[in-house]
Amino acid sequence: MPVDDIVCPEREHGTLISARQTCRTALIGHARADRRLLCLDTDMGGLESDFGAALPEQYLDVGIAEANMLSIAAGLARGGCRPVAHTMATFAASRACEQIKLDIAHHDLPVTIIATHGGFSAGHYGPSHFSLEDLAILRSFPHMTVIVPCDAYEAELALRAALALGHPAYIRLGRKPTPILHRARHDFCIGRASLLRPGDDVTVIAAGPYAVAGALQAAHDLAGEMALRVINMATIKPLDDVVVIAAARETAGIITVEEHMSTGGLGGAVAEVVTTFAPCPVLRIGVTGSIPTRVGDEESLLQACGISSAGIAEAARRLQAGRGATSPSQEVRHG
Amino acid sequence: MSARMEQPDLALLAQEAAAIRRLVLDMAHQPEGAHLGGALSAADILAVLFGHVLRLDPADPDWPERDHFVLSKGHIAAAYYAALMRRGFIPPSELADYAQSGSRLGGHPSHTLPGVEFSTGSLGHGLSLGIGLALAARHLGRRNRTFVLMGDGELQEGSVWEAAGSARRFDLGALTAIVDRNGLQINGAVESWLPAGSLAQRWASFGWDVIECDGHGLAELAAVLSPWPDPRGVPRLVLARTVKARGIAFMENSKKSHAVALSDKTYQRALSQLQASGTS
Repeated sequence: MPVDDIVCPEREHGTLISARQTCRTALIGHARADRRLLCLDTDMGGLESDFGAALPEQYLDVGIAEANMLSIAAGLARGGCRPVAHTMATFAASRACEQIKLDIAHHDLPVTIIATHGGFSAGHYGPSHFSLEDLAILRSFPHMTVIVPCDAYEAELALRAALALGHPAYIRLGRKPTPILHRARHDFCIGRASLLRPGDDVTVIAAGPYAVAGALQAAHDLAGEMALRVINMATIKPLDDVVVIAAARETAGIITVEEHMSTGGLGGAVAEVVTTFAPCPVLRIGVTGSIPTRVGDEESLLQACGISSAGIAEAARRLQAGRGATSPSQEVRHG
Repeated sequence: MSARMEQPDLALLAQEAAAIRRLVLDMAHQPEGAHLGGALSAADILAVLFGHVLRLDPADPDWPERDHFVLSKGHIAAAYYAALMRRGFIPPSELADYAQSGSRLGGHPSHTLPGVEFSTGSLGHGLSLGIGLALAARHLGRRNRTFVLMGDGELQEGSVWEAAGSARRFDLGALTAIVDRNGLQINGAVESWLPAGSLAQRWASFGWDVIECDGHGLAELAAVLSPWPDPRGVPRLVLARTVKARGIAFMENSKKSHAVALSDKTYQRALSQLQASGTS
């Protein structure tokens, strides 16, 4: 059975749509087309009533046991199935880190991990449910592809690409609906960044819904002062080196924006490329220092950490003024 | 691909067990040493699995209908390699490579070796991996059976119990877990973590069919490891009572046998003990 075409978002731009729910629905279509595809659940809530009800023979709820689920996923993949494992980002990357590393990544097995509640998207749940280290951890594993879609449309494209990959993939999603940021059909390809807005003064490389939206807003707000180049780096690994090197050579510097610690994730990946191939000032916008101890909605937690259009604009002005590289840490500090 | 449906040839299995022990001693006879105690306690289990039970094809290690074996206690790689050598997966000429720089025969097994399903060594992963293999076989309509060998010390890993709790839920009658119950870990007796008598009850309470047996009794092992999948979907847990470093009297039941590099003198002494004990 062929999988339905993904709808072009032309008419949906700005609409709030849940990437999590979009992927859940899309997965049922993929599973109908490929009986080897199995949906693995860790008592996440909702999967049992949609996927489980639609395709009970392809649905496995292992219970509240993330480590068990990810090793089981490895066994299933070794045995010829195509498991798609669902858990929260922090439980995948931290709690079941070793199972992903040893059993899935080292064996290069075709397991897709759908990690929801990424970043601060479960902000009201508190620090136990923040996931601010997962990208740094996952991208250090061999064979692992790491994708952070910026909206539900891209998430659906990323899921399709990950399932066709034949290797391990980690797709990091949020929790609640976020706006569709794409305005037109997107030729999503793993490892290829997309240029959302051209500009030759300063480059912003962002990943994830709020980071990309913030970058676009900053570009809009700064339009009278400078032309920001805005790049959506949905694939953290493999990174689109070519786009990063071009940005380093063609603009005054690079700002990276992510819903993650400022170390080791997108900013770290970009800095690795730049220092090797095309040194330029890099300002990494992410969470620095302490983790917020007060709960809040995703956007207010991000604002508190300086991950905002205002924070991006401030960094862009610094780079434009040639002040980006003067700070020893090369990262924007807040609070 | 195996003599599984036939009566076990006990003389042949004794020969296989002796050969495995001898190969293990050879592998421990170099400066890096080997996890000798556990390798020798599991030698009879491996001899029965690889010499009688497992349907395997050394010419086609990834044969889709093969039985799956996961060595969860990956540190006894020397015994695993010995069994794979006896079954024709690894050339015996590689024996001297064990634990040497550049060798593919490391102190813990790698999935890049023919016949090895998973790289193991971090304890507590194997049972979940086995559950995944068993689920895949069932989902894809194959008749593979899955065997997972764990150590009793390994049962202190919490992930084992995550796995134990899910096997019954999935009605995995084609799954057999084996515990090499030699009673010792690096720091001493396993007993303080797993009080005598509680282990069988614990597995039974998780929904497993628990079978206790002599882990050095070849006929008994062949009988408990050979049955077809349980039609009720009940997974089997074989608690195999074993002796650490079985076959070398001066090391038996000693925690010092856990990881040993045999000197020339100790190697010769161990060899003669193996012969004297009838295990070689």
